[in-house]
Amino acid sequence: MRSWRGRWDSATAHVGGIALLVVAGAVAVGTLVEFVDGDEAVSMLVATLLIAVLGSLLRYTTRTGELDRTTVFTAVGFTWLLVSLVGTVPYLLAGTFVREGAGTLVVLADAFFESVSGYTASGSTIFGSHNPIEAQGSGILLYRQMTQWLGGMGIVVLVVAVLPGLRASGLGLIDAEAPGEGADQLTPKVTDTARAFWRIYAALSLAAALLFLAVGMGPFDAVAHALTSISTGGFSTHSQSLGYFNSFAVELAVMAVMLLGAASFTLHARSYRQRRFVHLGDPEFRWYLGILGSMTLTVAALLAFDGMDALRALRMAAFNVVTLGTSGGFGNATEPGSDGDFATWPAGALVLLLVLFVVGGCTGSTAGGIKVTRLRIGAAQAYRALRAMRRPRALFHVRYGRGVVAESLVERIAGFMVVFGMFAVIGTLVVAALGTDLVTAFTGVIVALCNIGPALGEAGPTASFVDGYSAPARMVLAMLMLVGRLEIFPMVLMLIAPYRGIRRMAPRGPLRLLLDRRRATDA
Amino acid sequence: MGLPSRRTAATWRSLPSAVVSGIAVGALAAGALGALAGLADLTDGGTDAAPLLLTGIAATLPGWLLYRGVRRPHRHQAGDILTGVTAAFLAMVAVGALLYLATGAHGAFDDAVFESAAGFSTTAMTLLDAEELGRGVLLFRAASQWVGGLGALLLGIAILPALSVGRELADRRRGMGRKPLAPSGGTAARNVLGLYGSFTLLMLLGYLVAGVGGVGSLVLAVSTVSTGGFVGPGDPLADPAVQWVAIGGMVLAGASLVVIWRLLTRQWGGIRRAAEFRAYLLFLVSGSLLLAWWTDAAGWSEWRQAVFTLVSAATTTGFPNNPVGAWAAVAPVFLLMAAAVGPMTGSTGGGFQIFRLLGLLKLAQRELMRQLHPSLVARIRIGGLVLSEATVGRIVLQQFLFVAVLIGATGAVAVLGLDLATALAAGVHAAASAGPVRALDGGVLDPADWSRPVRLALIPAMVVGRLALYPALLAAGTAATAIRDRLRLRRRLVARRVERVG
Repeated sequence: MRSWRGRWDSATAHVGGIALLVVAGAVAVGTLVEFVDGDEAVSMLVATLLIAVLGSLLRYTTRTGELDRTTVFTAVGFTWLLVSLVGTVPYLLAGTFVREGAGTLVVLADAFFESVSGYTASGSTIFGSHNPIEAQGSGILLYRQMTQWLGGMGIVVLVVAVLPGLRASGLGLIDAEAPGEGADQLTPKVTDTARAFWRIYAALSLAAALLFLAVGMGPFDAVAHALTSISTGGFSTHSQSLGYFNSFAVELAVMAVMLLGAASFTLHARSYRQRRFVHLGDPEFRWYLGILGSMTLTVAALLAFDGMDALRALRMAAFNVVTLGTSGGFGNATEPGSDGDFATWPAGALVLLLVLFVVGGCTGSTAGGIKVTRLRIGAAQAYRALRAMRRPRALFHVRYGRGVVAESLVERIAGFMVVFGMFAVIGTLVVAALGTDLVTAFTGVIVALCNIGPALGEAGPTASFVDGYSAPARMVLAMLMLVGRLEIFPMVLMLIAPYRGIRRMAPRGPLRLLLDRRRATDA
Repeated sequence: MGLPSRRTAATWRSLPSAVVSGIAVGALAAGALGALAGLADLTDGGTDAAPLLLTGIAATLPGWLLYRGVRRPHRHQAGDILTGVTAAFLAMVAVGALLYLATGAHGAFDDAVFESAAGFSTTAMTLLDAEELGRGVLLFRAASQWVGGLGALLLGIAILPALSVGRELADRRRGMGRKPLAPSGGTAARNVLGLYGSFTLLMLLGYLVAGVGGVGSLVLAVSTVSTGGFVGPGDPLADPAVQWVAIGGMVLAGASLVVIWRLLTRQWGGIRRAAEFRAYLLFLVSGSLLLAWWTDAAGWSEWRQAVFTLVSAATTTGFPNNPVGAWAAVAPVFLLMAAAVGPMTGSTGGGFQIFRLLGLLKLAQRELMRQLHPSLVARIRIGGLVLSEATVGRIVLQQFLFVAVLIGATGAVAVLGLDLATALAAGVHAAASAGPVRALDGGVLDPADWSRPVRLALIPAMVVGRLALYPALLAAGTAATAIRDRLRLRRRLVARRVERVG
């Protein structure tokens, strides 16, 4: 770091500062609503000021400087961690998670969990019968919904949109945050690309709110649910989630919006430019619709076979397949054990839902999961390896759509899947070691990594995560949500990068000698 | 013109030759095993002797004739050999099922197939009560595991490396005073058979010294060396001395035969460099400590139980033992993961295996570094071994296939009525050739309590898991291609005929 006209070179602090100013804006909107309908307006106002001051301090005392790859990963990872941490301030000041029997540490952990779940657009929640959502003021609820909206498209994308002079480095930031194998550049200027993404996102959110109004939601609910359905987040303003409305029209509307959210935003942009629906020409989107369609029919058949009325089974299957397959995570159960409570569905259907958790949405969407493209290329690579065993001297390519996939991309995808699998296995063991049974632990880790929302077992759509996991297990899940939202590498590299930095900067002394010896051993 | 003589007859094409040879060898091996079991049954009243002998001979003879009848080409294609291996395995399972049916051990065909598949795949799932079995059937059941274990060793050390699959793992290089285990296919098979047979005798002796009866010792010995997990009548494993012998045997059975060979031939340098061996031992020790902690082990006996349970799961042997003490929720989860990982490559154990896990870890590390340095060129090394990119690709493929088989098996048994936790556990154990399936509280589940379709659905996973995944999938692919080609040919012929008529 060096001083320059009173500012420090720190992309990490600079990006983090701007992100905090955005968060302060969201809290300010919540504060205004809380003044109209709520009791915690003063607390929220204080939260707004605190976050704004902190953000301004970071923003105006630093500048981005040169961005290398290490800095990019550190900046993105740190920003998400910072935003999630500071995002707890409104909850803590408003006492949102204070409940009988919960100590200070548990309240802090719960606020962090809800904040992470919001910004990562996961949708897992601490609220439950012990602390109903309806008991909160409208302002805090709107802030909670806005966390998902901000996180859905990506806070760093927003930062890039408002940050001048980033040039090519900005694309690196977006790449590190965007779901899938890098972001498409829509315009020559990265800032314009980021702005284009946000414009489309805002327009779709507005359209979603109007649609929800049309199908019978109240204005507040329409806006609140529009924010969390286009971001495939899944937070609701009701304890029963969409089961509160018990309306097929509402479910259909939410499904349509979630599908848009889980499709590539590059496709949306192209459709807008070409003034025609280009989605069906995209192999990933076609596969995605095929997966959702076939899963819906299979799950509906399994439910009907289990005794549910066929049409109702189709409705329940369609809604839950879409909400989980898009990593939305809304529920349509009217009460525990009702038809929409998928945690009580037959085990065969649950296995299919588990597969959907992992599949996630399309590349470049707001959805989580591994993504259809990666799975398709992974399957194509497996097929190629099998063919190569039959004909060892033949040269096979991995094909996707009409093109041949570059070997470097195939390797990157294989690497991603390996790391994802490792996080899933180790995470399950850690969460189980913190007192959770196999199904609840495994599905909890998968939904956290894939940013889905409700899990299976004791943390189903009608349960709170407090029911299924101990406080330390919830912290582990929160970290996994962050890891999953950034598609693993930035969060891991954020931890590795400082170590590499220390190794470079360490003076010749015992530490340097120790590190050099370690490097020699590695070599 | 008479029939062409044996010498002048045209050789068969690679695929049919490999498949028919495979079926012949499978029938021959399982039939011979049945006949031997029949002879053994004569020493115990011989109630099952006649059906075992008759069925065994009835399978052996056609197997031998079929084997003699095949005009093998000079060279088989790699994929066809693997298809042949799969055919041999399926033939053994089929003959085994016939033997169970003939002796009346099982009344239903599907149950007999399940028992046979569990035996030859060394999966510790059984529907039979050892107390009610005659000596012949008991020994056949145990011997089926022994053959399954031998098959796994031959596949891993002799067959796959000869087909350029996993060459790095087989001890093939000569020179510099090295005595490799598998310099060529034939020598590899001889060495493997010698080591496996000696190890079995050693275990037999160990169990006899520990106080188990003759037949019980034999059953335990073959189950231990093959990481099979079937146990004879009585409860011999309740004895602490027997448990210690079993622990030692399982640890050795889960170790790579290459490592054992180097130990015996005093090639210490190779052992020192064996990163997989170190990881295996570390996993067993640390896993035992963790399990002891999670099962609240207080006394010496509970510690031993914890070690036994962990080693039994991690080597995919699966000797059944009910939980002692209060198990934490994580204990069965940990055992399930241990079974899924499995022991070393080149052992009789199943699962994903430690070498591949190390390979994946290194791959993950390289991928992380590539995020920072996109043009990084780095080879993956495990111990002193540099893995080729083809091997790395196959490890990734193995992971992909393992997960796919796991999901398929879990989904199938879940649809057929098992709850999600049991379905997941059953799927893992079937794909990893492990056992026994445990409930969430650690209790051992009996497959006899599951419905017949559930048990049937587990059989493909057992077969595919035992055959190191890709041979079985290659066989399925080959069959699908052959059917497709045949259909295309027929369509073309029909079109040509229509054209001519037109």
